[in-house]
Amino acid sequence: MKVKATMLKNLRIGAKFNLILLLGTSFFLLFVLPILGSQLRVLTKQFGVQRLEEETTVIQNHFADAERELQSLVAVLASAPGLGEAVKRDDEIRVRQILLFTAAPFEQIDEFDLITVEGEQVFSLGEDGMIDEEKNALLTLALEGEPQLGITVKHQASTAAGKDDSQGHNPPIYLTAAVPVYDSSGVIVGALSIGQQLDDDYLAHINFSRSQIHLLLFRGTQLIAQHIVPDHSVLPPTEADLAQIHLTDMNFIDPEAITRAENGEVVYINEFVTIESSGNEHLIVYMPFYVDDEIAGAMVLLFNVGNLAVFQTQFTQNLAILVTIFVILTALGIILFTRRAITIPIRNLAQVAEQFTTGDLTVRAPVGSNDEIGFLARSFNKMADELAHVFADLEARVANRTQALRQTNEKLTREVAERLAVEAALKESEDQLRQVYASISDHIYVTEITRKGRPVNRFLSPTEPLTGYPVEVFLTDWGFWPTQVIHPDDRAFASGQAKRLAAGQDSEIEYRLVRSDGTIIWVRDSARIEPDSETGATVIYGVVSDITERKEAEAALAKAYDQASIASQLKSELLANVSHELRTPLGAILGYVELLKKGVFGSINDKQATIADEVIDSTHYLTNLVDELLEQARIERGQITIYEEPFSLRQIMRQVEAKMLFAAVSKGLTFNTHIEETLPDELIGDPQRVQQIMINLTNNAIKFTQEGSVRLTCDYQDESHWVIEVADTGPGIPKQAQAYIFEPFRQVDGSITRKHGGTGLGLSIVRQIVAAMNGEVVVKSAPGQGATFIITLPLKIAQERMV
Amino acid sequence: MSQTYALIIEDDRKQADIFALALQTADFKTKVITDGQKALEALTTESPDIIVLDLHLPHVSGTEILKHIQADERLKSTRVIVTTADAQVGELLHKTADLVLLKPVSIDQLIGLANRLR
Repeated sequence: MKVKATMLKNLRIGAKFNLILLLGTSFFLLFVLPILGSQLRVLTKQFGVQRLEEETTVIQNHFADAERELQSLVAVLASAPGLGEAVKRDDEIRVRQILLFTAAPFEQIDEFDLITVEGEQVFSLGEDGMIDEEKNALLTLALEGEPQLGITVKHQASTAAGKDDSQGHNPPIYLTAAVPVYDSSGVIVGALSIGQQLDDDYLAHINFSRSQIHLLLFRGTQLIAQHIVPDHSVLPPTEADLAQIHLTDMNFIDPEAITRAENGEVVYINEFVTIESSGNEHLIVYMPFYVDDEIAGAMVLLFNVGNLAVFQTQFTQNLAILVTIFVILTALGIILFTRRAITIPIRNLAQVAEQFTTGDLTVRAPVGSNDEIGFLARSFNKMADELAHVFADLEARVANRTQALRQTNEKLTREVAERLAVEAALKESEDQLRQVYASISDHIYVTEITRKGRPVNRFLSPTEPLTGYPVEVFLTDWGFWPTQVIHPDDRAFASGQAKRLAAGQDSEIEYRLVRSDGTIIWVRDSARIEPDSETGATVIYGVVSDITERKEAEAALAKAYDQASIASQLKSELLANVSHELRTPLGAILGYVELLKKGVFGSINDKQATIADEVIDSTHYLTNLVDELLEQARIERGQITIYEEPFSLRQIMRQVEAKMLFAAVSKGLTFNTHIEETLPDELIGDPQRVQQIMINLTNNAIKFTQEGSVRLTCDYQDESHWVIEVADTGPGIPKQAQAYIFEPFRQVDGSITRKHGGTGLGLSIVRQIVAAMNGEVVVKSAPGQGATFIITLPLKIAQERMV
Repeated sequence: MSQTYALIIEDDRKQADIFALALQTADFKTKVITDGQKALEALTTESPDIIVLDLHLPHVSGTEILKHIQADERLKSTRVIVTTADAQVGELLHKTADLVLLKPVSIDQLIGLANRLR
């Protein structure tokens, strides 16, 4: 129903358009058309006058052309060959022959006249062969040598010259041109004239190809010739039209205007002149007719604009019909257009809107065109899109919210479950922790140093195992521990821990506690400090452990150590004394035996001498043993002094070689020493000790090597470090033995000691001397591959030799 | 005095006897004093060519005697051979004594050195 109403409304809109169109058309037909009709006359007149102005110029030019043509023609004829001679001879036949032959192509020539210088007519050809006065005058003037042009009138013989006696029978008028005729010697022998009649044909020639222009020629008030053109432009002319103009309708000619024209004026008649018989209307101009620059009559030009009244009627009728047809077509067009472009799209749009409101959000109006209707449809579609989008968005949001709510709900449920689990775990953990605390015998404390610097116990192990006091005592009073529990003698010392903690350092100290029952125990209090980033306070995490047992053990150990030290000291002193006491009798034994051997007490035999040597060897061995014991004892007492003095390394090596060579060679070993010659010789250090090291090691090497060689080398390492190497080809030292061979009284194999003797102190002494010299000793060896002892000593190169 | 005179200051009689016998075989004229105090007294009158001096003496130590010898202008030409069982002490006297012999002293060594100092 709604849609139909809209349609009707739209139909009414179309009708309104058409009504407006009809009203406009009526107005046009009633008011505008007549105005257009009358305006047609004015426009035609303006156009006609303009046309006439142009035509007068053209016609006049045509007349001038015709005159020049005539003059040219007469000149050509006059100069025809032989004409002059023929005239001189007065040979009329020859003249006729020449002239007619020459003039044959020129049909427009109406008459010929030729006279001699005497004025006698030689030849004349024309309508009647008469020579009229004007023509004679022209010929006479031409005889004087000048070409002439003029109008000549052929008067009827029956009438008096210059007078017309009857209407409609005007004497013929000619345009005549005259020239002199020369003989072969250039003497004028006569004059020739040719004439062209100014008749209707002549005017037709002049007015050639003009349309709607009629040309009339007057002389005085007499019509001489006329040229009426057929009127094709407006209405077809009839024979009657032409005849009537010709014969009867000259009453529209204004004689006064002709007279004015013949006096040199150009007269425009600024009104339409209607020729009654045909009803055609004309515009007229009167103008002078010039021949050879003299006025020879008057020309009248008529511009035929046709029957304006009839034309106007027909024009308005045709226009009205055209307009009506146009209006009907337009009206139909409008109806169709409104249906196509407005009604149908709007109806579609209305249907779509109806559908849309009933809930179908997907429908869209068809967008047919790019105009306002299209725009409306697009706008509707856009609005529909927006609405659809909004609805969709709204639904999506509701869905999202619902989903989010569900998720939140699930999460909450999960979290509650998790929290319950965590709480259970926490409780379990706490229980475990409590069990752990119960089983710990340590006192655990967490003390917070507030920002004001006051210590507060935040946490204590629930069972207080150390002191025998209840935990609450420490929780309520932090100061109870340092002032009551710590042993009075240790309180000052223990306060150092608090100072270190205050300075931000972790601390661990040991002190004594007085338990509640009065017993004293040793504890180790170890505390770690950490700032609490949340509260800004400092927190101390501490553990106090009972170390009484350890302390007691340590004390026992220290006591034992002290006793051992004293014993060791005594031993060293004893050793020293014993050594000295041993040395004296040994000296006596050695001395006496040597004296015996020397025969101081009487000569001895070889056997006795051999025995003396044996005694001497044994005594040397004993002396050596005592020396080493003495040295060891001295080292143990810390009585070892290292001197710094210049010495020659090579000299020491030579001395060692001298001392040891005999022992080596007597065992069948080779012994050699080596030092690079380029190395500096003079060093700063303790030469006795260096030598002692070399001798001890070499002695050892020789002692343990059964065959092969012993080699002593010195080399410069770097930065004043010297390397002394003693290498042998002996049995070598097992890896595990290398760890202890430098300890006192130790040898690799007890059997060797038994076999080779020695205290087992040699390497120990070497190591201790080397250590006292800030050097080091290492051994490189493997069983069956010999042994190499490498000593590195910081010996300075003497200054003067260094450069 | 054609024979070179060696004074042996040694508290151990046996050792002193050995030194004396050894030096005598090398044609030294010898005299033994076993007490530090007595040695100092003897040195006020006597001027031996060589003194074999033990450091370990009763009453007056060998070191004292060595100082005394070096301080006495009259004993300027006297050579001193110090004998000691203590290598460390021997090292200390290395500069002041003419020779230091470590006990037990080799007879041949002593004779050789004494001959060089003669």
